[in-house]
Amino acid sequence: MKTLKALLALVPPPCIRILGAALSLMAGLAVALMFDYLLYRIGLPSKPFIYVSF
Amino acid sequence: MSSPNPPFPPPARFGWLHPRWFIIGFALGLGSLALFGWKISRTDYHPGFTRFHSLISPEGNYYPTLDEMCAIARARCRPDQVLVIVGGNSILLGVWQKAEDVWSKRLQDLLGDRYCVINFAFRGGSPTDGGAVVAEALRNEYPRQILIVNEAPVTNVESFGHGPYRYIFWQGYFGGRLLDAPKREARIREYLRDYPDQRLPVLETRISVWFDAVLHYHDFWNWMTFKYFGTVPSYREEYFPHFLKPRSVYPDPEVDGTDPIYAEQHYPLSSLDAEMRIMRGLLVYYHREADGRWVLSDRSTSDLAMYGDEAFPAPLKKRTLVLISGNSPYYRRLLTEDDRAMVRQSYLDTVAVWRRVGYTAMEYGWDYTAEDFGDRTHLTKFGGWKLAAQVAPEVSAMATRLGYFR
Repeated sequence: MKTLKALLALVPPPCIRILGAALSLMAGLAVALMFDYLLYRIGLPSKPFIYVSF
Repeated sequence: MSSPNPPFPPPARFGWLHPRWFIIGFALGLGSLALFGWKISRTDYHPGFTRFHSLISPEGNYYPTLDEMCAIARARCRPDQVLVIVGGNSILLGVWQKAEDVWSKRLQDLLGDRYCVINFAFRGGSPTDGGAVVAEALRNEYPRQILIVNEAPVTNVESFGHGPYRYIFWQGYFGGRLLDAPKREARIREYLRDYPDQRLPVLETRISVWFDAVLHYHDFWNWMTFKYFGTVPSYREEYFPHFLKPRSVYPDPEVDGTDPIYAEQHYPLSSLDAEMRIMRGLLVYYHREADGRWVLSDRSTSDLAMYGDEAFPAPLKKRTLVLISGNSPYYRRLLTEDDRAMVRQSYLDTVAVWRRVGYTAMEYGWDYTAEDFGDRTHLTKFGGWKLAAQVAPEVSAMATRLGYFR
């Protein structure tokens, strides 16, 4: 963690801002993907086919 | 060791996160998935589709969507062809028939290039499930269409699908893709009144259909499951990591019932009692007149007529062929002569009622041999081919009557 902080200290502040924005964007994309999948799984029946059909 | 004076406020764990960019990423991600899902919902990704076998149907925890099924139909049926959709249950799905021998393929061969036969039957499906919803949803795109469904004798049909396949009906119904059918509407209202425990699940389905109409997540994740990796375990496959395999790699598992290695599975002695009880079960609907005739009770006749009348919207009745599925003579020959006469009468009565309420109907199987059946009710490829030979002229006659080739 300390090494990471030391490395980040070497990066110019405008680049840090761009990196933060890019990481935030990617996090947003990842959460959107998970949310989409969650909606799909919620929409699937929870009872197995065999108990519904017979 | 902790510092004696911790900073206040404590540094945020996600301090690097820029809320604005996170929200933009979230919106962009959801929007892209929705757009891609919409595109997928109009794309056929089932190359060489024959039927929804057990690994790509609700049996295997794979729930084909209405759009997915419509895309399959669009990819196969040219506008100049008559669309023939096979709905119904495992009998028409072709249990005991390998994909290359399935009866619907034979039907296609017999009907020729002017028709396009697509098998959308499901195991345990009813006449108003799956295929029926697809046909109704495609009624304007393919006005020249014929729907083939099947049912057992003296069986009432629910107009809005049933059990594990009702979700397809709801997709069409809440998606505004089905005809206005007052009788069906009344039946749905009655169902929700009589089964209050179903109100919440139906409401949830309704909300889910609305969300899906915008975001298309069902189509996207079905496509992912089918083509790249399974995200949902199948009840027919071992658990992790096997269920991660895409569904497209699984071959159609249906076997050829005429193969001698399955001979002992057709009519096992262990199920003889149960099968004979089913065969004689129709007796509860019948009584015998003094002259020896078997007569279907008034109540059963009126119920059958009412449910049949409501099963499909009036404008779609004429293009629907209802098959009343017969049982194997293996069990029929074990009935007394009286019981056999009653069973025969039940087929004739059921066909007559379906015809009376506006459908084309026919029964099959009475003159088939035990080898034509893989068990009491499912057909082997030989039985399937006989069925195709029986159905093809009826479909042609319907197409002519409906003026499809004028």
